[in-house]
Amino acid sequence: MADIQLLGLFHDVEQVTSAISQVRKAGLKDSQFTVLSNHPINHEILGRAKPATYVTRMALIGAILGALTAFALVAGTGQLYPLSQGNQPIIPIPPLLIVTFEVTMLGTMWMAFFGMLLSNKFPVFKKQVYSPRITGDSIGLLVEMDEKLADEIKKIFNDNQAHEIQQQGASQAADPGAKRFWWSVVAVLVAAGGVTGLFVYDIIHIPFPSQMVDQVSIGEQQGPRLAAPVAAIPVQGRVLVNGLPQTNPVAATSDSLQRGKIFFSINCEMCHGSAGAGDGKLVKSLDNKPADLSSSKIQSLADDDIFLVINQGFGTMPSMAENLDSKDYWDVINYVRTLKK
Amino acid sequence: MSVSEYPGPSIGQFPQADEALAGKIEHQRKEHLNLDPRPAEEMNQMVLDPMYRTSRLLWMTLMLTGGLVVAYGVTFSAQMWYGLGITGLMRPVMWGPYIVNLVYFIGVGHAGTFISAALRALKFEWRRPISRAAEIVTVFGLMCAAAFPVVHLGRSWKVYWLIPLPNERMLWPSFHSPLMWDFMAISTYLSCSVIFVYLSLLPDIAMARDHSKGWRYSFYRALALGWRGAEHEWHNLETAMNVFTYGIIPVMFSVHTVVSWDFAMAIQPGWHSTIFGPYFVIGALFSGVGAVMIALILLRKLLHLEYYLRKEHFNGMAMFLMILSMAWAYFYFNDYIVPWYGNGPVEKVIMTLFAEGWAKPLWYLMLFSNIIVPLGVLWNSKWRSNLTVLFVVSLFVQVGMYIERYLIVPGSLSLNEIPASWGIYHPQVPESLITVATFGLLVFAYVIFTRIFPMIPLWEVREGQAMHGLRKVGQALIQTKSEPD
Repeated sequence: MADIQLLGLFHDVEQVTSAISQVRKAGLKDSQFTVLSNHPINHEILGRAKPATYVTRMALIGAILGALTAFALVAGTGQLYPLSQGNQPIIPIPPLLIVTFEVTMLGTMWMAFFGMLLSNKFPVFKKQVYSPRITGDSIGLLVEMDEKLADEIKKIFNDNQAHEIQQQGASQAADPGAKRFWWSVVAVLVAAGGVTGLFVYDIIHIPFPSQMVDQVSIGEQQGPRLAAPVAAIPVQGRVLVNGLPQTNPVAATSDSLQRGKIFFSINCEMCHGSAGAGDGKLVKSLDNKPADLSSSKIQSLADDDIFLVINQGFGTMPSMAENLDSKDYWDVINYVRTLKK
Repeated sequence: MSVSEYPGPSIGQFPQADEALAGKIEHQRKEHLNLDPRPAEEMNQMVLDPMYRTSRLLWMTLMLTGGLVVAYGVTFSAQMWYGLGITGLMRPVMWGPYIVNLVYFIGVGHAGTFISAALRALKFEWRRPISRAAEIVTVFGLMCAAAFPVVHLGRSWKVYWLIPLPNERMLWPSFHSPLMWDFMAISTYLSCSVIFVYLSLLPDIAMARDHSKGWRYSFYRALALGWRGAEHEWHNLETAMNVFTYGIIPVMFSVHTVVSWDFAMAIQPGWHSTIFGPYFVIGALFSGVGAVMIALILLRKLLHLEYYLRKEHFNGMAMFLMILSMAWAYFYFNDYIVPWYGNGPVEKVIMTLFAEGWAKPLWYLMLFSNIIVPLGVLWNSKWRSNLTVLFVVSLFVQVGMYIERYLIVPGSLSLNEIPASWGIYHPQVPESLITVATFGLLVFAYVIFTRIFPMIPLWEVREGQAMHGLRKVGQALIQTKSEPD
């Protein structure tokens, strides 16, 4: 005789517990029936043994796996590619603890979830005896037993005011759909790992600019020189910046000379002297004497050469770029021209 | 309706119920969801109906927030194309609103799990109907937050370099780095929060499956995994949820601690503080509980969940918010007084910036919103159950906590040990747009979720209602909870 399943739907938990005790009296073992409900009902209320579960055991396995993975990641990869940071050891203990904690918890919780799926045999693809009223107003008692007992169980259900009874053949042990599901999960994971491997091991090479060396760049002493971006450098001069005035754009008007004189007295006079003869007050503390600006050597320089010297400095002379605005250089140059002997 | 009409197990057990007693029972029913069971199908419909309902407000919200999501995508693409230079990020403030948003949205994502897990572990019975709404704030808040390190990257497409993948060049991420810890912590928290939500959703998805047709039926049937509510299914589910409850609380604490270490490990004045870990955790809970409060008030109003979300829930949340406000003030004071007493040159400048500089209005607004408003309002039990008041207080808390993070990131960062490199950060359009759009993204995702999934964990509510009853002591009826162990 074949096994069959009977599902009785009740309104009240009292009816279910009374039905359970009668079903037991009919000679059925506790493993042959289960209660279906829309909220968890404690096993003591139902008068049943606590169901076995291996969720906690799976969680423990997950914790151990997680801890080992974390250790392998921190310690193992540190050994594979030793990278000293701030004089910390290659395998630093405090960061190891942090990473271990996180990955351990990750393993624990993921495996608890996985354990829940496995011990409930989720997902279910085979047809199950069930009524949508169970998530509504009913509590179900599902019994699986030999067909010849069916009438007796139905009578028990009816005696306890079951308002609906369903009958179905025995639940199949195998669930081919579930098997296919888990194999496809494995297949997807393997495929994902494989595809990732193809990329990270450069078997499929995407010409991403992933190395700085591969970027468009210009090596040392290598031409052609790129023009500086417009207005990139607020300094003017012949050689420094393309496209900027090479000759003095400021006429030597009395205004310009007056400005030049003031700038000269502030920035130049202490070394070069008031007449530019190289005899300023600071000369006595200098090893290299300042140039005589009235000399023909200096006066024969082009304007933009003098511009460069003001901007860049020359020998002991510091750059005046921080003291003077570059457009004021021309006024100073105009003034220096008046110092010619 | 008379008491005995309901399937509630214990309230009907007053056969001698006289009129005065019946009035008291009715009062208790009104106050407490756990004492007010309704017929199962009626409760199902109250949860399912809002999932099908559409309105002009819904479409307008979806269009507005959807538009913001598109703006997010466009702005982020433009930023990837032209580079981070189009933002206002500039030496010395290289961590701008993107990092503020990271901290803020992770904070928003903190309360959900805390409410759900900690209140479950401590057996706070009023948590039952609110846990789902809170957990979803966590999930979407975290997703929004997790996008920000990517948005903030100069080369966003390199983000997978954080994953320790074996590779040809034998390069591994540096586990010395707090940013790496951050990555590990956030991925743990996010993935486990998603599973946690799914676990508690499972019986409710089965409920939705049993009450739907068409594409929804196929969708729920696939997600319900064949759930029937058998004894062993419940037991396995509850065991797994126990593991998550006790597992996710320490992870939650670790996440915001590690986020604070992103700052505290740097020797930047204003950041280099040992109290940053717990201080950030409390701040996260504070802003998170406020965010959950906003979500609950809107859900109650818009999904008509008045039966499930009652005064007791908002009162409980409001007390929680008040305690967190005090705790935040305590930690902030700790973080303030030590550098103040030490009077280091840079710390002094930073404090002057807060008290007198450009940050002055922000700083005072922060103190006002985080301390004065919550403490000044929530001590009063009448205001604690006035939803409009709670909504405004929670908005203040959001503003205050956003400013707090803003002052920590671009505020402190603008001043360092080298005065020559001080500078003020000025927000530009791209990062401002992405910041606003992220709020849109959060709302968009949340609204879509409420269209698809039951927002009330019905099975938890039913379990609570099965466990609670009334006991007559003298002239009073007192709520009791029975729990077989």
